[in-house]
Amino acid sequence: MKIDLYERIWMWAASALIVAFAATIAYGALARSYHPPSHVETIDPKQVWSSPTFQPLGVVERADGSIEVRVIAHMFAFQKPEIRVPAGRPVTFRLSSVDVIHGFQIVGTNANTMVVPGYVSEFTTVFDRPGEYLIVCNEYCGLSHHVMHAKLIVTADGS
Amino acid sequence: MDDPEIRTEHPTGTLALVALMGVLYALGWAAFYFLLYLGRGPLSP
Repeated sequence: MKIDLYERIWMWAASALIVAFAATIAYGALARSYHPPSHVETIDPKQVWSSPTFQPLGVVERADGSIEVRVIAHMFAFQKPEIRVPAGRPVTFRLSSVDVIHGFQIVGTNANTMVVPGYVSEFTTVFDRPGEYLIVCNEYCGLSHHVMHAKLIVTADGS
Repeated sequence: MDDPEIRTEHPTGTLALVALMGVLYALGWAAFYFLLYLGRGPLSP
């Protein structure tokens, strides 16, 4: 079968793009341990406020020394609205929603997950740069969606 | 009245422009991927 030279060029270019994108996904996941939040844990949205897994809210130091941050999303705020974690240590975020689907994005980092009622979203990351980070809801959740935000403070002293 | 000239060869200049845009896009994409996305650190489930 004769295929025109330029047709062949386009075919090879398209194939190379597919291979390149697949390679970057494989490199990120296998060599650099980049994974999307994929934790699966269910919870009754009506029980979130009183659930022991979300009490107390905010930053908790686990028995093994790691940091856990518990956040409840609701229209139109995050509880707690200010989170303070140390730099250079693994921080596990656990989130759930009591009403509708929300988003949880820490601006300027790769931390970004959906917060779905009935499920607990969880991811772990390390913040290397101390400073203040804006947390925003990036899933439209109602008329005051645009005011739904919180603040993350990463401290350098490890406190 | 003569028929207008029909050109059958490929427009190589246009192809070169498309290729240049493709190269620029690929370089920009790679810069964002390696410098920004990978530079921000991993997220694990």
